[in-house]
Amino acid sequence: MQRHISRRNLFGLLGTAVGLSLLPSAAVAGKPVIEGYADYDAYRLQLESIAQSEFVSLSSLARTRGKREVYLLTIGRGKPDARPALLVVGSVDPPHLLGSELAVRLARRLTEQAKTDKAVRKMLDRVTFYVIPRPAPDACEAFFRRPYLERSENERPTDDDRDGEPDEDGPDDLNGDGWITTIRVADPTGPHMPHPRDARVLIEADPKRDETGRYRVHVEGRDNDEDDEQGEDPAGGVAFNRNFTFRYGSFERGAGPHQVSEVETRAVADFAFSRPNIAAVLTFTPEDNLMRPWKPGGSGESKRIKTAVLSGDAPYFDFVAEQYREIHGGKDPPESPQGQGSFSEWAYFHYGRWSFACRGWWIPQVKPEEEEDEAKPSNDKPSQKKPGEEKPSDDGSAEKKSPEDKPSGRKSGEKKPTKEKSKEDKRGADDLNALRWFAREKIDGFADWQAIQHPDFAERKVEVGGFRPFLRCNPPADRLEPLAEKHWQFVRRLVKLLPRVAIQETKVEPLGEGVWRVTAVVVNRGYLPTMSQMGRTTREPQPLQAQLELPKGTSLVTWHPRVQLPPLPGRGGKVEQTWWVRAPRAKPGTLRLRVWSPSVGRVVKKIELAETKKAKEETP
Amino acid sequence: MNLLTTIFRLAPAALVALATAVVAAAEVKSPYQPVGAPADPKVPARWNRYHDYAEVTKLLKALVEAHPKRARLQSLGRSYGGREMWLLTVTNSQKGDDRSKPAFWIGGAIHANEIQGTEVTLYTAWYLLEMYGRTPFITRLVDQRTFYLLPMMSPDSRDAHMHRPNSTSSPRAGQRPVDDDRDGLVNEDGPDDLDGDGHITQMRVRDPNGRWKPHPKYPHMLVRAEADERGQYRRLGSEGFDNDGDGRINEDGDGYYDPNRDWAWRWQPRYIQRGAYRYPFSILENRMVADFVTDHPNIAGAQHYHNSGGMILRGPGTKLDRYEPSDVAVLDAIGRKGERILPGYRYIEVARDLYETYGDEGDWNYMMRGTLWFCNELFTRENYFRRPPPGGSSGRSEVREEFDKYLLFGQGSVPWKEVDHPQYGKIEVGGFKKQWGRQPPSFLLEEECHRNMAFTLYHADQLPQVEIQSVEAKPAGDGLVEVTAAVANLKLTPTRAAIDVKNKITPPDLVTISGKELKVVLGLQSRDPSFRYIKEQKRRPEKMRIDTIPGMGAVHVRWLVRGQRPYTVSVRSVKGGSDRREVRP
Repeated sequence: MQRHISRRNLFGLLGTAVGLSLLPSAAVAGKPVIEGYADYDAYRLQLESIAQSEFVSLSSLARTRGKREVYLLTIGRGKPDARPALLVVGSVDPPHLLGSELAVRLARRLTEQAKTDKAVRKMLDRVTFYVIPRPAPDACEAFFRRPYLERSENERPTDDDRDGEPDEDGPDDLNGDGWITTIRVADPTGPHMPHPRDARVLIEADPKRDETGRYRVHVEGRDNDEDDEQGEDPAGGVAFNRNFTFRYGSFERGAGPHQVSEVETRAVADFAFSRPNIAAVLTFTPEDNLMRPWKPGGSGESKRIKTAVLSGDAPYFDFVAEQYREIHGGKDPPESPQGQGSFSEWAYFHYGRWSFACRGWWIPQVKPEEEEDEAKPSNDKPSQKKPGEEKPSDDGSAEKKSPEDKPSGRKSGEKKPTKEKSKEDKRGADDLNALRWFAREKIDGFADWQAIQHPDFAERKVEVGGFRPFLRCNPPADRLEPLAEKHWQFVRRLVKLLPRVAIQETKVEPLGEGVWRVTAVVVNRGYLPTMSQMGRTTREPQPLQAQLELPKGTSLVTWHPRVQLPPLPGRGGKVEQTWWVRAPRAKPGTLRLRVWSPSVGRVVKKIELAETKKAKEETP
Repeated sequence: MNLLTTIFRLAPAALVALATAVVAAAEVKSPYQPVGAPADPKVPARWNRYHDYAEVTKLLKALVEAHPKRARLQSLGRSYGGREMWLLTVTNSQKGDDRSKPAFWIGGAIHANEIQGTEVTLYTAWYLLEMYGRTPFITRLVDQRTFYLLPMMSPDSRDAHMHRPNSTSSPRAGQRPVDDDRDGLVNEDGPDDLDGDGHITQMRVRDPNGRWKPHPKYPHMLVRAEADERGQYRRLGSEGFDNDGDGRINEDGDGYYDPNRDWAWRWQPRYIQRGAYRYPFSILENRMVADFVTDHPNIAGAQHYHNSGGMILRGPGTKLDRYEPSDVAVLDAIGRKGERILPGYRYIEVARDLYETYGDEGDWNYMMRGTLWFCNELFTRENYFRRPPPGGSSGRSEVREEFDKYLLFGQGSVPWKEVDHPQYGKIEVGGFKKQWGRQPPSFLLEEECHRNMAFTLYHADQLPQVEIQSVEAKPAGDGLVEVTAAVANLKLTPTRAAIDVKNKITPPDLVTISGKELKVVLGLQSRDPSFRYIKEQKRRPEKMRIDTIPGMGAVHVRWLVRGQRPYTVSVRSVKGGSDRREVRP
């Protein structure tokens, strides 16, 4: 930790823990939404400093449309590409800039501790780390540019509203506060109404409660292209995390002209495909599966096109997730949204690797000051646990909705709660909690509704306000180091769980007349199987192979010295392989057995053709 | 293997240099010639032969040189093996820029072994250029439409098929190496030409316990022994040996990936779709084509040439999709005409009548570009004896053998001969030549070229064509004028396919009224000339956005305007062309 502090001071990038002074309205270009987060230039300097380490090489996979590099840190010893590897990817969803911050800090911890900690150096002898902290760097810069607007898309001009004109109607900062929030337009036919507990929060009117909506909500902006919509075609682009091939949303906003259409997605995909040694992928992203592991079963598993984690892999995901939860310690994780063209799901379902994903941080539950509220006819305690919660470790996850029946194993986090079994009104619960947390942390995260004149709604009352972007998915900077430490501990544990192949025993049996039966038992001593079930399904990872190398004058009875081995389960899964060898009777010599797979590792063993326990040769 | 690949990749330049003239001989001109192809073309060509990359290149260059006003040649880029992706544009550029006209795409032999797709595409280019000015129909097509022709979608493998040992079925992939057996070695164990004759045929070995015997009439052919009969041979698969010492034979040859499973609609990885590569357009040649097609939204119709089986295929390729009914009606009308033009060909749907394909080019054309397409599976066994071939694989083989015997005099096959096999010992190799099976023989090739071209020209003629049929202006009181325009589509294909409207792929058609100080008060549109059902356009009524003008139909636009004549009414459709009419004082 000391070392980190000194480095922080050296580069002046992180500053000391910042008591978030949240930006008065004087617009300052280059000022981040949250002090202490690194913009592209600072990020580049951080990587360059990390790359000073002897264990690191820094390279760029691509240059984006915005002329920024997609940096890759390769951290390893010797020939890094020849070892099994963990691919760590940050900020696939650029508004979640935390992902990049955690990935950079992970790389820094790894390199710093490798200098002093023998165990870390030993880890680097076994495993290589590929770290791509910021795969979509262009969109990340929105965090540092006013007016602040969460942007996932890159700089490709795109006709989002498909009217023939690209990027012609972005949001506008109508009240000049430097933030793009929302506008609410008074409208007796609108679907939204104020929350009874806190009028700042808008919820949808519920016909089952005989409620009437009063507002329509739009993004803060004008109808710049005269199509009766506000801000529907902003600058850019294609979203990195919606551009991959798994569950791709054609024609959806941010999806791009087709899958993997962008220089940055192509670069990352091609990098992954060109590194068969990648054993697992860790992504920092809202599509979490470490707090809320994927659920197998249903048609998502039984259909030919797999969209749910396979049952053979689910226990391993569950166990790894348990490790994560134990180390992280966080409670009440939000629902994990289902991705569309997301990177982390692609890594499992199409790239066939163990793929772990986490958002790293979320707004914790803050209890309301008074639990009871008078207005509502039926309000159970919000923190009350419901029957039917699957995971005991998901204790009290009342922040969002209860898990519905989910045939595909997961469900969208954006859906409205429709549960009958709990009559509790959860509408806006997440928003209310965020407001309580902002109050506790003294974060000015909500722009109070403020009346303005709006040219598109001259005859109606229009107010600007709502949640400010970025602040609900990125914590104050003083949380970054403690979070990074937790994720570093998790990565260290994860590496120990990777498969580890060994040649447990070899048996040499003379059959007489220079003929030998050579048998090897290959075992997986790691925790994870040498290949996931999805890996077997996709045939993307390379299987284990075994090859017997023969000295001159020695030959095989059958013609082929090389075989592919089946995937081995973890913790002692084994396979036995036999060859029949003919060797000169006078000097049988020594064989060499190689067992390898790029993503599992390689072992070599010498096998002496010697009649150690000399069975009596029966010669005719 | 690697050395061979390297040599092969260096070869195209040399091949171009060595190429002989297509046909240089000056032909004797008799005044009496058959109808059909031009008797005295500027660019002589023969259509009973196949062309390799160098010959295709030479022919394309000759066509552009002879017809500079109507042909333009460009390369979309270089293939993996360094060959040009030649794209020929045919249109009368004096009657408008290629992008301003409804355009038709023709792509040949994306599966390179499906070799004659290239010849049909070339023939079409040659015919359009040579018959311009001789046949009014062709002249009109070349004036009004643009043809984008890409004869070799997979040029590397075309040369591989012709110049290296292969079978009629290989290589279907391109030449980009892929580790099919996931052993870390790439393309290390493909077929091997054991007898050095340039053909990958079959292997068999004499075996008293084998279950195969020679066919009684065609001894070349192996048939199953009867259940109670002793056989003579065991079959050992395609010519090749275990090159990489893993106990398997021919498990990692050219590719393997399927360039026609690489397109960006319903793409699925290879566990679902054999032949899928990394992601859509991870095959560079396809990406070049996709970029070109995307950049030319005026492409309203497309034709892809494959082989074989005598099929006029339409999408969808997967059962997950259905094409919009009004689009299917157009495809049906054209496809049924095709069955007439192409005897022996069946007009069928890929997913429901053939098999499911994810990521095929046609579905991308339709679903993401709004283009109506067909894929013809060239050549049918029905052509052997002009009658439906017998069912079953042995019946089909028999008829092929019979044709080989009586019409090709045995030229279609390689007799069995003994070779030494490194793993199997003494075996025999023999079978059909690579030019024969999926491809027509010389005397049927020209017919195949012409008939398929005729079908695509019918389709190209049915691309949308907008026309302002009438503009009426009548006083409406208070100095206002009611202007009514009828805008028709003279052809079968709608200006925007229903899928285009649904997914908003291309911008709507625009019907515009303009004039000096003209004030447009109101703009209405209707499918009905008497305006019973109307749609008002509130914003910018002078530029009416029309979703689509149906095939053989019209839309009617009515404005209330104030201002003096002249006004101009114009229509501009991305896929349907344009027209304008002036209303004079």
